[in-house]
Amino acid sequence: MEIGLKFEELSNMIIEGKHLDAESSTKYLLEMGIDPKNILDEALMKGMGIVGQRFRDQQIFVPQVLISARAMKFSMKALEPYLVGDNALSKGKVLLGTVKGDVHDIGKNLVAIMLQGSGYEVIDIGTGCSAEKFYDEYLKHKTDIVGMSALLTTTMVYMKTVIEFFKEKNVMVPIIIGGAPLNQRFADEIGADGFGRNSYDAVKLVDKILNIN
Amino acid sequence: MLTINELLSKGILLFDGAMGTSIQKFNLPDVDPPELINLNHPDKLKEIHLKYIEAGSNIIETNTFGGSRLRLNLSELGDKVKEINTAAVRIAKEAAKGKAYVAGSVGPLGVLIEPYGELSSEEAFNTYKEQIEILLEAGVDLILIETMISLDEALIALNAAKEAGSKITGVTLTFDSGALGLRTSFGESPSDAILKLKESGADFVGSNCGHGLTDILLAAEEMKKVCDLPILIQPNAGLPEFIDGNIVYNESPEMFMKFTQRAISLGVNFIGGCCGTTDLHIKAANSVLRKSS
Repeated sequence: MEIGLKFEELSNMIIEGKHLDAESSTKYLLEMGIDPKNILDEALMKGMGIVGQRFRDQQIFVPQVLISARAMKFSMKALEPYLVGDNALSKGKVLLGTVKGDVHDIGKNLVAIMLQGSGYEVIDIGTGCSAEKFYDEYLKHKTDIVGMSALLTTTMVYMKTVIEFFKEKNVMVPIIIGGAPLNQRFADEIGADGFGRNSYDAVKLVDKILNIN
Repeated sequence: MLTINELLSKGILLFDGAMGTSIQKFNLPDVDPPELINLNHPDKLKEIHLKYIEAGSNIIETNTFGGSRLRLNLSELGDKVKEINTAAVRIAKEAAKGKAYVAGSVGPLGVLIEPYGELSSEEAFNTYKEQIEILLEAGVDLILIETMISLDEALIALNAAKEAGSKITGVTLTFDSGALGLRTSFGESPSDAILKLKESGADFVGSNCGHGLTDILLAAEEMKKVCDLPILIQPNAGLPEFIDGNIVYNESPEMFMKFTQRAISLGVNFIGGCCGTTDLHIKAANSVLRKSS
């Protein structure tokens, strides 16, 4: 069996969200002695990359991304024990949270999964996060980037409070934002270091800020 | 008991404007989540309602958007679900004094439902039913399920409202425009949504929140083309921006007048406002409505 074909098969399982097939296919490839990093890059990330692009282009919507993300999670679970030592993933650390007053986390969770799949370590601090919480968690984990999410127009304005809180504390970590009602102009107005229109753009943005191609 | 035909017989009716952004303006420290104003500052909440009624609202909404047990649980207030919803209805009715109808606002649970999340459809249904029963028992005239981003969740909430005994139930969804036109986050179009909601017995359907006045008129137009159900639209006054350190919603009451004219010509039955709209927007809409009638 040609290995490229196997990778493509697994990649399609991710795209179609067949989580059990994806898990067993990943295990099979590992048992065959295939390099886990290759499985991740050539199959899983390729699949999630296509999912991200289709989502960006509105060819698919949140439900399809969620089932792909679940398939990705199942594969990653099988893969993780092998991703240690020289194979360890670490392009950088990203802190993610939904701001105070907002309980929505679909978007944030998608960003987390895409970042993890791309090789970032994600510290997810959940929803309803105050400026103090963002700051305390940042101090604890010393991440390379802080990402904030909001779905409501009533809560997106709190992002400015968080950015100002970090400024007052003289912490220069790049802060990026995302969420359905946001745009680049809003990001500029509140002094954010970047804006991602969707989870695909979010990964590109983090790569760019951290100078990773 | 009020019926949808009785409501429709009164011509085009005005809902109120934003609740969330109006509460924010008070800058109160103890209203997170915003439903806490119902218990902590009932006088302030009444003030918001009164402004809208004075501006011409025929239907005002209770401050219960995030008032389901699951949503309140996120702030450890789940056990106050009855108290918070009952207070909201009482305050709205006190303000309305029979001069305006009171719609019980019901928002999304904020949790993913199976197969995408952990929450079972049954639990979602029961959660909606619990809140809606409380609202009805406290005396709302109708139920408005609003700001839905998933048609499946909207249908669950609608079925729960019916089961709870709601005689008039409206449903609004939030759409975003993209390559395919207007879609919810879950990918449903305005025309698909209204047809499915009609099939499940919604009395009126529409769109709220979103990116501003233009998109929402497009949503209404698309719905009108495929279905004769009464339509409600409640746009945001654009999206918030920071100008000189202040939060500003850029779509003015003057723009809202033009929007109202276009809504009337599209045959929309109910008009109101979402985030960023104020009593001035409602007043502007009211002046257009009075001229046209």
